[in-house]
Amino acid sequence: MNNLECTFEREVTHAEKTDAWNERLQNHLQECSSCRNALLIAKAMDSVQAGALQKASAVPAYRVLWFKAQYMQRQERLSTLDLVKLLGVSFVGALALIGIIVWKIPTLSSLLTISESASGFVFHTIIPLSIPIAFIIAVVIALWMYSLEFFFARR
Amino acid sequence: MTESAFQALYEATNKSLWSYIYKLVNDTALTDDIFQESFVKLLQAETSRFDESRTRAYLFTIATNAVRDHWRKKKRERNWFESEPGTELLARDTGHAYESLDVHEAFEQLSPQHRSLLWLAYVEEYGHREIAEMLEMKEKSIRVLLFRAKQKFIEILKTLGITSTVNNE
Repeated sequence: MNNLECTFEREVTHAEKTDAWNERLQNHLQECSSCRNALLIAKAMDSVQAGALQKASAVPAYRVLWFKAQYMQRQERLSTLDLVKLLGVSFVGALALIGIIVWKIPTLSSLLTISESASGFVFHTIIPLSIPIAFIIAVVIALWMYSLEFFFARR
Repeated sequence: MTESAFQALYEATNKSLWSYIYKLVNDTALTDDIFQESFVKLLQAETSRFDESRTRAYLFTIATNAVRDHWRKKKRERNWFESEPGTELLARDTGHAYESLDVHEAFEQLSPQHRSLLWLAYVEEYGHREIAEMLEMKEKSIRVLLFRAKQKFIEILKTLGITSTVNNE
């Protein structure tokens, strides 16, 4: 026995729970007040548990919780998808912008030079060039997002 | 976790978990909420490496933490450690064989922390080390806290005159 509990206490409480008493334990119980207290608590806890179990009759069916968890996991995945979409669109947009600037810098420079003398010419030249590029980028982003949605929905 | 594994776990644990939560919060609606939250969190957690007993222990850990969160949210954390205020013991004739109502009354006098410890040790039969892991405390602390919980419960039982056998309704 240490200063907090007797080493037989768990054996005593388990014996009480399973009704598996033996002579050694019963003899020990006569001499050990700590084990007698443990037995008193074990019996009391049995009673407390029995009372609580009577109120626990209306638990939901397991399927309710199973589907609730599935639904919440799906919602969580979708919110992750929204964040990925936002980051992805920002990233691809930034890349596309940088790409256009790098690719078209000589043209833009020359156009800007021309625009100093004839400003209407800038729009006539840049707009027809940007439309197919913007269309390609939009298609790439749409395909990418669709593949993500498909991937997350399948998981 | 597969659906069939969850079903088996649920059938084996649902009533004891519900009772455990109920004895900590004493509120049926709140118990239902925490009960459902515990199972849903378990399903969302990565438990594939856990065996059955570890999963069960983990479920009780989730529930205990949820009850503690409830006290925190209500800014009544101290009630986790202390008895509810305003509850008074009524001394009775000593030496009678006690009835369930008396025992429940005695149990209600304990703080939720003491109730939790006694339940885990005596109903679920977890050892000090397991309880320490579940409550994220040191084993030594659990030993001391459980000793205090037992002393307190014995003291209350004796004050109510409960010293002998139980009638389980």
